[in-house]
Amino acid sequence: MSNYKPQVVEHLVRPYNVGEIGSPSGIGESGEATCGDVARFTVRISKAYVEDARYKVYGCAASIAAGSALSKMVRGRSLIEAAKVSKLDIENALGGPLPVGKEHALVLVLDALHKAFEDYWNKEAGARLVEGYRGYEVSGE
Amino acid sequence: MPNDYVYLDHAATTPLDERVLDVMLPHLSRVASGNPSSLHTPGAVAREAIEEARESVARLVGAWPDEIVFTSGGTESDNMAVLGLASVDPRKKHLVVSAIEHPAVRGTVEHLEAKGYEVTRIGVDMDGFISPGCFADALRQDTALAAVLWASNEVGTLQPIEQLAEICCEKGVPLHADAVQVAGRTSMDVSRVPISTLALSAHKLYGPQGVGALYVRRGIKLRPAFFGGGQEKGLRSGTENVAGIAGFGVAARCAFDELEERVAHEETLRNTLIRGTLEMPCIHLNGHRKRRLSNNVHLSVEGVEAESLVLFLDALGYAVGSGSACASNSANHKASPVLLAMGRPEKEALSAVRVTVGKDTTQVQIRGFLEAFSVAIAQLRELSPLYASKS
Ligand SMILES: [Zn+2]
Repeated sequence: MSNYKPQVVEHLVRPYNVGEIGSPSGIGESGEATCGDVARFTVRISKAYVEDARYKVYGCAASIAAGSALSKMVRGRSLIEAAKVSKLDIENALGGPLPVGKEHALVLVLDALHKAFEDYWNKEAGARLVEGYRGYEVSGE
Repeated sequence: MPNDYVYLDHAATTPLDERVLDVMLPHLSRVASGNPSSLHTPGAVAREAIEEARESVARLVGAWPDEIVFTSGGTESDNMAVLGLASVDPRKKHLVVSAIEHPAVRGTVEHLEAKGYEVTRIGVDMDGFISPGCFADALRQDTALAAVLWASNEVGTLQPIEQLAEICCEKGVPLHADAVQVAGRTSMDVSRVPISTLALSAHKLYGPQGVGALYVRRGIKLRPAFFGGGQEKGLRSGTENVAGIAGFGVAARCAFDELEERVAHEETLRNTLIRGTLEMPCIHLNGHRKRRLSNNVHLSVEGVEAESLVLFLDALGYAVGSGSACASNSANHKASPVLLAMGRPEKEALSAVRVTVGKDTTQVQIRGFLEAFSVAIAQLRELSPLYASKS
């Protein structure tokens, strides 16, 4: 038995949403390849909803499990809701606080996801400048 | 833990041999043996058990029984030897150690360094070997002691200890060797190899945890570790751990009697493991292919981090060690200093696992392990952004 909660091991052995989306709406990476964990999130966004979120992690069990839990929580949610998922939310999904010294896992995967969203927003902003906000009008206007 | 759980981390600790337990139990039961220092019959029973154990441990390493001092384990033995030898002559303030010492020696040497000792750390080559030439050059007039890890607890490399001991002997420098991993895995004879002190541990050879010994060659002066009642020839005061020592004795006797068959058995399994794992893609064996501990396989697995691999294998029913067992206790990922000293990139050092077989490991278990290992690394690599970018 490790110091991890069984939920962490469960996510490690049977992780959700592993992989990469082909031509994604956004890509985000975090971590340091030379000396620690690395995470990559790819997302497909449609009408401000997270249609799909896939992740990859090189790192400890905590990081792998955190990525898995986070991907599961954000899929199908609105962008705003997905961006609000917190470290505490991930820990709760993993059965409680991670062992001391493993908090970096939460920062790592959230950072990668947020960067993927940011990537999407940047691209969107670029596209809007060119194409205008057609389809984005609030109804009734 | 399920019944078919397979333990492949014998370098961390070995299961207690039943024959050892049988000898220990009476000393722990109500008809306990007494205090070995007492004059009465129970005291004599305890004394006798300790002296019998001393003979067995001495025989395992080729020593005289009066050269064996019982301690609480390998770490204490290492501390006692390094601190004890260092403080014999106050004019000698220089220490020579290998760059891949066990933390028990490394930490003690760092402690002395902070107190003003000068330390020369001998580097190792890519297989983890110390060069005898560099070693000889490092020894000086004012060298208080040299310390060498006979067999690496991590990568299993066996140092050319006979040669290093001869060099020390010629230069008049006492040599301390940590033999915790090697005892019971190679024939040892300190009567022929001029080592001054030797650290041993019971729980690495199917004895109990919390017992060890320090071999101290006749004529070698050592400052005592503890002061008090003068037990263990005044070197280690304190009432002896009678049951533990008796258990260590049996473990040492069995190791001596069964040495050849154990080594042959372990080597066969080890070689199956090495062949099987090296057939898988992007796996490197650390340490020398042949000149290594009979039970040790140490691998760097590209694209996979060690902790996740160890826990994945644990979930599949196999216990293996992560690169360095001691480092995994620290809060964050720490690359193994041993692999870094061997010139391996940090990323490889973070991806190292140690598989160590034992006398009771079977071929069937090894075949099962190889399958589980291949499943685990395939899945973790699928997860890994570093490995995918490679293939
Ligand atoms: Zn980590």
